Amino acid sequence: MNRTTISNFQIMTLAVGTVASAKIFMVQQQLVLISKQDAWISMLLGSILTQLSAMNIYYLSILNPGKDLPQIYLQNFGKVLGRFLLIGGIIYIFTYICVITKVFTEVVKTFLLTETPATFISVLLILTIITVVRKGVESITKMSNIIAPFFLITLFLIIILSAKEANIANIKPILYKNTLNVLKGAIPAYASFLGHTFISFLLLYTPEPKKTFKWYMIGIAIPMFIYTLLTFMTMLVFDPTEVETMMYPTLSLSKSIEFPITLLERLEILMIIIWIPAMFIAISTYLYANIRSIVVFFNLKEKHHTYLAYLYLIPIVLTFYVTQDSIQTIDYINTIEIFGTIQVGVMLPIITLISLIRNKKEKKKQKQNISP
Amino acid sequence: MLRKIKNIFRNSSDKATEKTDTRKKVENLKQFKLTKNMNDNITQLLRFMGNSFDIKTRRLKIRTLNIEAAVVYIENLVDINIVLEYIIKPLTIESASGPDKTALADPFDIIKDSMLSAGAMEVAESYDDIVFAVMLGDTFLCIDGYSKGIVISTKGYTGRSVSDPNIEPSVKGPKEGFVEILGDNLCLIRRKIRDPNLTFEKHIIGRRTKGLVVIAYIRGITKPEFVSEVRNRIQAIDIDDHVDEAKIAHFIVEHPKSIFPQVKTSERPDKVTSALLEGQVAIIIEGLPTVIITPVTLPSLLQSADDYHENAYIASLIRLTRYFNLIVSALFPATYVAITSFHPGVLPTNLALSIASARAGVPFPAIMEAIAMEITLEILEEAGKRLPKVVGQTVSIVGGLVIGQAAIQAGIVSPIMVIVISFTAIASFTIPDYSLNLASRILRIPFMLLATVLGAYGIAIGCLYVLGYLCSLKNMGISYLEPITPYQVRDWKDSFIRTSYGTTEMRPDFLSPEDTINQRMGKIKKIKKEMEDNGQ
Amino acid sequence: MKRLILVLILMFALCMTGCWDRKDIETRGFVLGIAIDDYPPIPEGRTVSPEETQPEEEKKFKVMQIHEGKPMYAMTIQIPIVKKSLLRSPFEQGVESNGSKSYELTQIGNSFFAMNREMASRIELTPYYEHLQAIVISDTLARKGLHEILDFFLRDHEMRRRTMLCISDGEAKKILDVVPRIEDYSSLVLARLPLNSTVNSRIIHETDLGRAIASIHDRDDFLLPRVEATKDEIKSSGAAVFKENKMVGWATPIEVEYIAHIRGSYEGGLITAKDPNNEEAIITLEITSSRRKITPIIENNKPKFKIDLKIKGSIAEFTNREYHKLINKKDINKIVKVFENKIKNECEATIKNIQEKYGADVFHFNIILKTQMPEYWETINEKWHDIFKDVEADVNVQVRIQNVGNIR
Repeated sequence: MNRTTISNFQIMTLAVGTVASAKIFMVQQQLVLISKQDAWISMLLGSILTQLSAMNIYYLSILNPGKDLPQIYLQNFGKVLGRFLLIGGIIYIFTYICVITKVFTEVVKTFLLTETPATFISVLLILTIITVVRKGVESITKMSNIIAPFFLITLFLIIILSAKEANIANIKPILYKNTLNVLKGAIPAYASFLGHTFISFLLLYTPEPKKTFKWYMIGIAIPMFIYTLLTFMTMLVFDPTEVETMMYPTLSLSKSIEFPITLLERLEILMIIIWIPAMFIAISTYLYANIRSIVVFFNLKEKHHTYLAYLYLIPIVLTFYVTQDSIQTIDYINTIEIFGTIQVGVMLPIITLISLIRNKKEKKKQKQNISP
Repeated sequence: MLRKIKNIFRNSSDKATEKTDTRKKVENLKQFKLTKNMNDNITQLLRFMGNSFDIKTRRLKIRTLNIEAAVVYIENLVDINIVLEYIIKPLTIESASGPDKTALADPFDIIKDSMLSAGAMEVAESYDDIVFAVMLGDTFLCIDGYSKGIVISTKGYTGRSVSDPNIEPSVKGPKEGFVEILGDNLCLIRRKIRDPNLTFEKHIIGRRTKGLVVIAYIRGITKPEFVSEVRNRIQAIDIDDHVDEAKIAHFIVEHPKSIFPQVKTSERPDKVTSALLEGQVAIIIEGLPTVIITPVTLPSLLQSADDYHENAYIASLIRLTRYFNLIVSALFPATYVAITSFHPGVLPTNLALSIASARAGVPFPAIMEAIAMEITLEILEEAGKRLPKVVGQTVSIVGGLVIGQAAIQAGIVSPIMVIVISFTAIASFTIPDYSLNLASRILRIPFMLLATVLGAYGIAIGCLYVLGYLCSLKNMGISYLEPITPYQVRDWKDSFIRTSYGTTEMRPDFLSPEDTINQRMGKIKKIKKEMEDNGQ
Repeated sequence: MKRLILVLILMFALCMTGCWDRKDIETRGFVLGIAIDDYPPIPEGRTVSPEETQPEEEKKFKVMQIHEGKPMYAMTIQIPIVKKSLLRSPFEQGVESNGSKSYELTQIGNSFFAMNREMASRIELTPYYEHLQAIVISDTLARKGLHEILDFFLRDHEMRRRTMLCISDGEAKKILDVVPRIEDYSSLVLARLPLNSTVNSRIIHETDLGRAIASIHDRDDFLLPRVEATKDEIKSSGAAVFKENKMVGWATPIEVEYIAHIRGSYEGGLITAKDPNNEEAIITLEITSSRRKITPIIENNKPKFKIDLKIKGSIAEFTNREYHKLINKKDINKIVKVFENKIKNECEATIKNIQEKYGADVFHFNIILKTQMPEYWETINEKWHDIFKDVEADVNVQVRIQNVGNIR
């Protein structure tokens, strides 16, 4: 009764919550700057890359059963080198959390509450997240079970309702002298799905890790499918020069919906209100991952987890004084994402190779031990 | 500093008291035993019971055995018919004439086995058992020359007879509700479950009250760990006061201070018996018409007896609206405050203008209005509970007219606020469980405060916090939101929706029952097949 | 224990700080409509604006102190007077108020945001734009350029992209001053008029802020509806033709109809023609759908467009026709031919007209080229407006009459 178990379905909804929410408002603008009207093709390519990367991480976790990512680092690289590489991961997740919180606060402050000080908004969010993370990872997964369907339904609604405004002429001509840009644009698309690495922290809690594969892949595929549809719809409704000028294309998409039967008028406020719980889940997962990494790094005991969580408040508030305005935030996100992409896209396959080699060596050793 | 504040609230009896003498006296009845002298025994017994005037003693002489005896009983607790007809009459009249039987066997055994024609009896030696038994309504027969006595079961309580359940009426179901007498309650349960595996365990709780608490479960369905956990926790209760369901609930659950009820209380036998058949444990308390059912989850708190008497689709729709009502009851005034004060852009233009014009002359800001109406609502609800029936009509008319009409006309509240609050009140009464209803009412105020400070964002954060809290509640290993998360679609058949009886073959999974099959469709399928074959 | 401290701290924090964003709904001034005019007002030769005949008192507050530059625009906002539209309580009789239920304020300045905030010094309600229904711009200002003034309306988060844009013939403030007979506020009338474009094709439907700005960004030419007003009526008639960013002239209502046919945005309307058998009878065809297909052809390095129109309609009225004469199939065929010819001629005439008068490609031929012949488009992208004037268009119309109504 006391051991935390996470069912397969919860992995799926947690994947939806973590991957789908972080950059859903801004990703189209980044892509359009690079690939113009074929941004949706870049998104599709990025999704395929993410699927490959997800399979890689899953395989890595299967090779080292019962251990989560920091422990895998330490085991495969040895104590010193593993810790050194782990620092990279810790810094990346930490800065990512700070920047994501900043984006969150900006969106809330621009659309929902204009006068409230930003510190207040973010402190409240982080405090709530900390109280939930303290109770263990089970609470997060259970909450994601409830929140994820609502989020998905709202996104679908927005996509379907804005089909009335769609105009095919906006995405033509398709792939006209644009192929190189499309390929270049796949990298920011891949970078916005970096949340899929959470599986390495949670796979050890599932009762049958091998069976979780299907659910995990479905859970990753759904947000990517939605992102692609969303980009596609954005490009259909607005044309590329327009999207380049928008700070939050998804919200502008919601603004342009006018459906005479709806009860409420400004659907973007509804969209933001539904997005807040999804961001909550994403940040909670990142926070949990980061705390685990630090705990493994410093070899702390179990009961110190909770105090560590409270310590997080300080740096996150401090970052508010580092990034000043919204344009700078976008630059920061780009830089951090490049860092993250290298970590996940380049280093993790290397680790998988090393882990594979080690496993084979150990199996050989075992056979040698058994036979004589 | 905080410790001093805490000390103020602590009971003064927590500190060391010198009033332990009577407690010691009452406790140590165990060491006193009967003597062979009947008069001494009777005097001692009466002294232990404080010489109350309603304890009657009847001295007898049994002729055939040539023994003196005495019967002690409490007049108002016993069924006087049994005492007279089946205890005193055989010992006096019927033994008046007859052969001398002293030589046949021990007189005590003769009396116990052959003369008394009453029902269950026990032999008692220590005052502990005797006093308790007399207090319970049994009769004590003391025989001169023996240091043991006989306690005969003669309980005859007066109490309410079985009538409609008050707070859980049902449209089509049985209209019986539990009463205060334990025996009647057990009878109602036994009438519905004739399985010999239905087990009742008796426990005595309360030092001065010695109330009876019965744990009921069905052996072979209920997980034994639940039963042992409940049993251990109940046996650990050590209080003076009489035990009621709040106290038992406090000791059984793992988060006693939470506002969300973690046990289900019910007045209806059919609810209790279906819970027992699913694999839950029921606790029946003497003197209370409510029965505790544990372990429980939030979706099961939102089930009502009427759901099972209707068509599956209709019942499912009604059940889904109950979830909606729970949220409305907690969040609607806060949503109103948030939308009108922070985001009026969400409303359609005409509605925004009408609300603005409705609020045009009102002097208070929306939050003050909301809090004032909420307080008025609570006052009305409290008054409604304590109304004597004669005054009932007046108060409802006065409440409706005064609060509703006149306040709007005077310009103190806006009509929209009255609509919002009455809708909230009505929605909250559709929640079948009264404690959950109260919990959602309590949650209204923090949500309203959050909405005032931070608008819709505050409500979102509040909801997330409450959701996180609910997700972490666990009782006996079962989490509070069980069929919703962790996700088990099979169990959804009875939580969100109610599927038709053709599909409820298995018991709900979250209780891990030992016997999982609920309904066997074999015969029905055979009959259907036969009908099809014959029809063609 | 620690949790208690945390909760207490939070509650104190909540109570000591303010509710920054809380603003009760009746303290917000819902701005329903905005009219933007030129300042200084229209020169002589046009109708004298009522401004100049206003008493001096009222004019006083219009002007504000500006940080930088000279005042260039006059912005008028329309705020509803909420108390006049109070919900009727069952104990009072309905009170008819004859006066205007809204309050129009004019402010002069050069930054819309500054003018907006300045209004807050003249009225106790805070202006609130989330329910903005319509923006009316005077034509003199439109001729100077649209994008320059619309920046505020796009950047602010309160604005919606679906706000209707209209161009007024003359002063824009007059449109807002109208006290309509049925609806309470003239902005709502302005916002709902274009919804009638399904029955009257002389009204343009897709004219909201978002589309206008999209067209400007794309360097397309577009149309915006033209409104004119009397004391209590607002009429939408014709359109203003915009070449990239600036207005270049008016299109008559009939021209708007044919432009809609060619552009493919025809939603519903009618067309009348003379009966071939009877000179005095007039046939009215109600057009239910009009589909167009444009094929560009390059001849001698010049584009030529072949436009195919497929129109479906039903006979709505047959005015002045001969008594006792039923319609039969031959008549229908003749009628179809009449309509086809008429539409073909009128479309080609409209295209030539617009080419000569304005040279603005409101038919969106450039989009056709861009999507169907991207290589050719790249070569002539910059010079499109010059090339457009010489473009030839060949219109083929196919009319199908579906039903004739109740009687023959």
